[in-house]
Amino acid sequence: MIQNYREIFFELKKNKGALIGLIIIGVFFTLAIFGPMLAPFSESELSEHLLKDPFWGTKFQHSHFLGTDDVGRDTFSRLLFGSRVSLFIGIFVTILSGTIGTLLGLVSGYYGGKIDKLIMRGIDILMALPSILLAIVVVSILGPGLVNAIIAVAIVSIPSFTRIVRAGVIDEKQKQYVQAARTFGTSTQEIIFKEILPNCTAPLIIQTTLCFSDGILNAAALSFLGLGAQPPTAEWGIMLSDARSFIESSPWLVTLPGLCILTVVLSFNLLGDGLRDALDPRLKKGK
Amino acid sequence: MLLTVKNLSISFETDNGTFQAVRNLSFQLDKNKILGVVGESGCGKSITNLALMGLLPPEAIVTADELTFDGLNLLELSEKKWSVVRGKKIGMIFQDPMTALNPCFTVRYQLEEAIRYNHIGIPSDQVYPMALDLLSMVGIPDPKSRIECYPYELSGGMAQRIMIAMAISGHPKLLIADEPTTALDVTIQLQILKLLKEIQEKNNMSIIFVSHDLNVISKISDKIQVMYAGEIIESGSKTKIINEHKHPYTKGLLESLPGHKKSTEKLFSIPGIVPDLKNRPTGCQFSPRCEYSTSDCESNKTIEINDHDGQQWRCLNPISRQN
Repeated sequence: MIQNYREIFFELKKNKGALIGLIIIGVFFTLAIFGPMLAPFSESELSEHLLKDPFWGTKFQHSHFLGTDDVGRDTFSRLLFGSRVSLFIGIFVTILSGTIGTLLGLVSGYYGGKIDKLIMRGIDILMALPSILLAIVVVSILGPGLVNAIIAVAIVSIPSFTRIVRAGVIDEKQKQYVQAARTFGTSTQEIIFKEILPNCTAPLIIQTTLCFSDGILNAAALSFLGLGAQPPTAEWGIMLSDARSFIESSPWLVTLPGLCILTVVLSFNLLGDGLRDALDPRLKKGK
Repeated sequence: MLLTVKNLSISFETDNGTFQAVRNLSFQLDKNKILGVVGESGCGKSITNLALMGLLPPEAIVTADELTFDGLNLLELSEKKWSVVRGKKIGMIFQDPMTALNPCFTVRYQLEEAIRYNHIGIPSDQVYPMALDLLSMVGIPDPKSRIECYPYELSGGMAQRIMIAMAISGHPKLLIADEPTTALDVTIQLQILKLLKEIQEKNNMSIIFVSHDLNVISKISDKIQVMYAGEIIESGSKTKIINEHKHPYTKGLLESLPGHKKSTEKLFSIPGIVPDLKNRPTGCQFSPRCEYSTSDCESNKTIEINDHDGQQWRCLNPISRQN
């Protein structure tokens, strides 16, 4: 399945959308790392210029490149700080749900039987509820806050990982190389992690990129509802919700963070799509 | 005696009742000998092999009066002890070499992994030379470049050679070869058979060679046992089985080989199918398909094993040869 990383990149390069997605993600990551150094203002610094337009608007104040919000905070700086928060959320949600989901999938797929039933019914319950509703429930139990929002969103993303890994494991564990590994005296643990898991990585990598974008989106939604990151943290979801009362007077204040979320999520989805084309041998055969 | 099996029975508990895959199997294997096991699909060959490796699924019920290998009682081994047997004392190779290698890793990674399992505590700088040695031993040309290949870059014969290299990396005393040539084409089959024979002689090991092809079996084995519906119905030395077989089933198997008749004639086949293991015939398992079967064959529950001159058969109407 995984032939060669160079080969995968070659496949990926043929897909324009995936390449654009990859570049945009690269740009956002660079901004997230170096952004706060580039930002002209801090995320919570107030000024006397309230509700200014970006540089193309009529009410433009030249020190504030992308305008200001209702308390005079610089939108550009806040967007830069926000990118850090969003990508941070994305990374942690993916690591958390990816690890737990993969482990559950491995166990349930490999052992089967009662353990499998128990885990999968639990996963079914998680899947039966709309994800954002479930996240709200989890946050209400844990209390609002960035960390709790990450946990909530991670829990919501576990099922897709578990299902994907479980399907892969059930498929792979019957193959002869697993049996062959056993005849060399390989332990069960090593068979699961060293023999089977590497063969399930293709769908897993795709799911990781999709989980990243879902995580960012869900976390922004929670923040928008006031359950995620708390003000004055510059988070795109919070910026959206803060600015929504000014949607008529300063439409750019809502649009810019929205555009940021859209771009990042879209880029990750494009990349995920491209990776699927590059990694999935079943799709390759059709060409 | 390297391996002694006495009255081995393996059954499975399913929702539709218990069915016995193997019943009252008894055989022995000497050191440095090749035992050929022949039989149709579903007659319990592979299940028996898995039992010898301790790799049966947990729902399998294994009973035996004796199951000893090299002084070890395999019936009472703990999972921990099994890992000392697997790979190091008993190795195994499989039917389809292309799927028996993990597609994700290079030959080098997998072979070195096998070596590390089988030689615990081996210095890491000795692993690679040992892997190369094994590859040249199994007749891989240019081992240095082949060792970096992924399984999909190999031909079937090459992959089977690598499987053999992995299986013998721990110098096992017994190699179980579960239809190792079935997935290969005929010319490669012969090469692999020769290689196995060569390695067997060089390493002083025994081989259980399983196949449904008597032709292949007769090329390599010292002793042959014929299985039918989970029982051994005839066993004996190679020449005895080929020339002086007593059981009608063995006769049927031999007659269904191509080459025994003129090419214009239709190839012989034994009528009927293997009995349903949940619904076994009362008497001789082969009686419904047997041309010599009598009413006694169908009703006699305990057909004695006849033993004559190192040849055993389980039949009431054995084929007699006067001339």
